[in-house]
Amino acid sequence: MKMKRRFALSLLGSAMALAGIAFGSTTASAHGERAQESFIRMETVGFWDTQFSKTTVQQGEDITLTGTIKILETWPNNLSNGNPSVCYFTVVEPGAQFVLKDRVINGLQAPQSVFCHKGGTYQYSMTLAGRAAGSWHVHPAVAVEQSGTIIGPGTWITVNQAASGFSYPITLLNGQKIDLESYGTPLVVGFSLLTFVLGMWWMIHWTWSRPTITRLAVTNQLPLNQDGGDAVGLVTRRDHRISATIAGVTVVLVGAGFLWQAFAFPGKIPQQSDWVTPPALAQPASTATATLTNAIWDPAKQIMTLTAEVKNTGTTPVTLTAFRTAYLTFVSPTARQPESGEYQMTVSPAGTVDAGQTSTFTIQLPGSVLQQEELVSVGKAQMAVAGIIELNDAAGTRNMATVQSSLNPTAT
Amino acid sequence: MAQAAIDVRAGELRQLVNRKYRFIDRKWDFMFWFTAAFVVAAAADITRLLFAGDWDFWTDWKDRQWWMTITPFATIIIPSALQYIQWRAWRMPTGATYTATCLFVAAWIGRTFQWHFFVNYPMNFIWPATWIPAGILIDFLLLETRSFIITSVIGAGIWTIAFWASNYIMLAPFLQPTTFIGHTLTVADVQGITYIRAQTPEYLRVIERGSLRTFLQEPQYVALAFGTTVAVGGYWIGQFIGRYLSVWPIGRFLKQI
Repeated sequence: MKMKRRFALSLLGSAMALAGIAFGSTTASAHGERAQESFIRMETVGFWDTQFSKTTVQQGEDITLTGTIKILETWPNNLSNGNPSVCYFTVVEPGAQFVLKDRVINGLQAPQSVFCHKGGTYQYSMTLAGRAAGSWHVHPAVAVEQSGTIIGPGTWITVNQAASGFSYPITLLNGQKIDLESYGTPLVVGFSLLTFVLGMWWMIHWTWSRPTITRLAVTNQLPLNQDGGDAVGLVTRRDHRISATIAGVTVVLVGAGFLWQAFAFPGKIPQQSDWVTPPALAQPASTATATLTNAIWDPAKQIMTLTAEVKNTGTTPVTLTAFRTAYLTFVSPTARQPESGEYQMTVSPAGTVDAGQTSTFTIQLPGSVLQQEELVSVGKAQMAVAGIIELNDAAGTRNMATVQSSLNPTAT
Repeated sequence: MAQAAIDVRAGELRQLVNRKYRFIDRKWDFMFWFTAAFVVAAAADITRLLFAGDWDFWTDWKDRQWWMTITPFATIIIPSALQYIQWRAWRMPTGATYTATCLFVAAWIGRTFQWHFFVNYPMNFIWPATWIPAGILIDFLLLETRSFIITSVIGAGIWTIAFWASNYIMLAPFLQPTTFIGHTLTVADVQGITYIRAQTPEYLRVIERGSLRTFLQEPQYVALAFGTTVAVGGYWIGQFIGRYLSVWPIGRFLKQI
């Protein structure tokens, strides 16, 4: 009785622990971006103009993510041997809460990976549809072969439950319409279960009422390649007969199934490897350039100070309007007010650079944001700052200048 | 005279086989098989994940070149070890089927709870392959030949072909073509694009991408032959585990006590 009670209690405890894990856990919303070293996020890829067409959708309703990324000229040598060549544009979200329906890179439809290169600029458009009801944090991202996934600016998207739930119809080349959510599931489950039944038949036949301890005592006295036959009774003629039956049924099941699929699903093709090279993005002629001549981190004041030299090579004045690094955007107050998710920086002297002139600016970034995002690389193997300085001229030309400087702390 | 002695000896052994347990209950046998199932499933799953993780995970990885080359090798190791242990100990040709059945249950529980319910991937994208038909057939081969050498050579081929044939039945609907994002792709490819895997970008797939190493332009024949060859190696790795990491140390320990 005591044993039974103990067994019941331990069973109950296990069930409660499992239930606690199952129902007590919450969905992770962050994606580990802060765990990536700062130089990876700052020196590899720049993101700008990231737009989500909606932030609240019904299940099955489309959202379009658009934006531009640049594989920066500062791409470090220790990633992809300094030569990124294969990229995969994707989104980062917790699990499969959305489906991806379309992906266009520089105007070219790109279902799979694309060939890319250092210095390349890529305008992307990805169409998603809400799949699971809930509120999900979503980022555009670009994965680079032999480096990893680099995440862009994210936002929360709420997917509301639709009365009809979610389905994802597609049409096969043979004209058959299928729901991708459930297609093939009955076959997979049904056939798997049939094999399980055969396996259990085999196991039950061979283990039911067969003592393990006394058989061991007997097998210890027999050579490995002998079973003693009917005389000893370890393996009988009945065992051979039943085993042959199960093996025969297995062969028939697999053979018939193989023939059936050949007739049921004609015209199969192997998985496709369909990588494309996006066309180069048409870029306006550059009218300004920028370089960083110094970067200082002041831990006492919590300020990152950048010294930037801007050269106007155009015919109209240019203004330093923003600095972008990793998935952060810092905006100069003389250009515009920060939008949601953006931060303000100070630029001095405020103003513009006249045509043909070169000016030096001091940019101050709020250290609290950089520290929160783990982007201050003091004490790391690569102490540097990198990003994109945006310079706009009166004609509306946007110059995206990749900049980089070593980071010098005032104290360590 | 000699035959009579053999008959007597066989009779003694037969009596020993059927002798009742003296100190423990026969429920021991059931408990043994039941509790061992967790260990066997874990060992088989770890080996599979270690060598052939993604291939057996997603439909768009289950290709005719790498999936069928790598997976039979990875998955025959533990069945082989169990075949030796269970044949050596009880003359039961059950090692491969037992492993395959335990793995089947563990894999379906894992995929259903961890991957379908928790992170919401559809089951038709993440279904685990079955090794049970392959397991039954090589267990049957061992039963009929009572030879590990023959089972390793012929059985590795049977294992590879049976694995491919039985799982291809389930894979077939996902290899039908469709047009998606302006390109002709398989349903499996579409699943891989549609259901977002943030940290498994498409370029990571190690699948057939076209090769000179084909036979009649079909890589699966070469892959089947190569898969069989490496599965023979996998079988003997399993035999080593069974003989020298399991049975021999246990025997030595028992002798000491």
